[in-house]
This record gives sequence, C-alpha cells and structure tokens, in this order.
Amino acid sequence: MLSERVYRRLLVVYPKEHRREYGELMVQLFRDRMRRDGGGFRVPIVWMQMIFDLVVAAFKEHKEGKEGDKMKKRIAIALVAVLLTGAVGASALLASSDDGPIVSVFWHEADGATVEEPEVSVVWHEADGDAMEEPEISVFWHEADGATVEEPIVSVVWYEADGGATE
Amino acid sequence: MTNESLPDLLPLPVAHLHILMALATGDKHGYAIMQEVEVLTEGAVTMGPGTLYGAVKKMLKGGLVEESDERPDPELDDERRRYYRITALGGRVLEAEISRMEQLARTARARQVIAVRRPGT
Repeated sequence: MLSERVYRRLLVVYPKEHRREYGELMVQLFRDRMRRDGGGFRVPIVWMQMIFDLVVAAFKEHKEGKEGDKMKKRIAIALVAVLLTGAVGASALLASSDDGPIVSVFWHEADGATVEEPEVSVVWHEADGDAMEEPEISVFWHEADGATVEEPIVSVVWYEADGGATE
Repeated sequence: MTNESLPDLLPLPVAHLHILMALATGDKHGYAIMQEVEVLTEGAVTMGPGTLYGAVKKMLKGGLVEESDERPDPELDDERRRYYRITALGGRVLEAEISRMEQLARTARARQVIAVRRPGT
C-alpha cells in the first residue's frame, strides 16, 4: 500500500532504538487506521493527523533520548520530504489514472567522524496505461560541517521521461 | 515494579490516563486501545501511532502496564500484534488519578470556578 510505504519511510525521524522496538507496531496501527478511515476524501485528513502525530512524538522521543542534537535536523528534513510528498501526491492523484503511483522517500545518513551528508530524496513513479512514464522528483539535502558552508542546501530537481527520452 | 510512590506519578499525562482506562476493561493491542480511547472520549481523541507507543513505552518502563501473552482469540488474531495489560500499580495509579480529578472538580464547583450560564446571558 502506497500510504503505508510512505509512512514506513517517515519513521526515520524517530531515534533508531525506538524505531527498532516500535516501528512495526506503529506501521501496523497506521495500516489499521488507514483501512478504517483512509478512503476517499478522508485520506488527506488522516494523513495530516498522522504527520502531526509523527512530528510531535518524534520530538518528544528525541528530547528525552540521547539523540537530541540530531532532532531538529531530522525533523526539518522529514518535514521537507513530507510536504513535497504531499504536494506531489495530491496533484498527481488528481491527474493520474487508477494504476497507482508510487512514492518513495529515501534517507541516507553517514555517522561518525566522516562527512555527514543526510540526504532525502522523494522519487515518484507513475504508471499510466500501457506506457510507463517516469516523472521523478528528488529533494537533496547536503550539510557541510566546520568553516565551510553551514547553511543546509535544499534543491529540488525534476526529471521527466516521456517515452524513451529524458527531458 | 517501580518504587515510586503514587503522588510522584500524578498527575498522569492525558495519554497515559486514557490508555490505563482503556486497559482497565481487559487486555488490548494497540489498535484496540486506540478504538477504546475513541469510545471513552466520545470521538474527541484519536491516538496516533507515535503518541500511543510513546506513552506505552514510558508506561512499561514505569510498571503501569505490561505485555500480555494471553490472546482473546488466537484463531482470529494477528500474532504479530502485542497485547498490553494494566498492572496492579497501574490500577492504583488510575484510581488515584480519578480521585484527584474528582476532588478537583468538587473544589471547582464549590468555589463556583466553573462559569454558570444563565438564561438570557
């Protein structure tokens, strides 16, 4: 299920330990809730509740845990991903067929003394009839430490494939 | 079980109170807790996964709830679900919290803190 996959990816905002212990249970509860309330016009309402719950709960977990220093960064990145996913998803759902678009949110983080390059990418694949169109949106977040650029950079890149050609 | 005395645990966070009330009527898994809380609050509160399991985690640590191996109907249930039950300490804390709230409500009424609407006002 599309929503479940997106929600599962968004759990990255929780501390690793909490995610390991309760991640599957949270996904299961999300699935139950979506089955009950996630039909038709209620989808965006349920999603808004889920996102609010996710951000608030993740904030508390980080605040009470040992990973407080990473909290703002993770939540900010997740919010960017969520907002873009929502915007792209809403607009595409209005325009697409019933074949089911796929949205994936990827998070990559490098730990330790090496360069930290947390990166979020939102990739959208849409199947329309027999032909396969692959519009793709990617959001990249790069952060440089020390005396170099401190400002995080967010760039949005859109690639659209129409047939075999890439525009 | 924790060594904390009851007054140290009060007032309970609202989510903890709701979960204890939901479990007071029997062991439940996460989704059943969420549904019971909706019933208890007449639909005013729908707990999200983050809020629910964040609270459960703290309540397990505090000894207010525990995981339960018993399943009401294993044939019909998903074995991946985790069931929770209220502990003896959780029961005492729930009673103490409700008593505290009743006392607060009595005091509020006695002091007429709660605004009374009169016809025409």
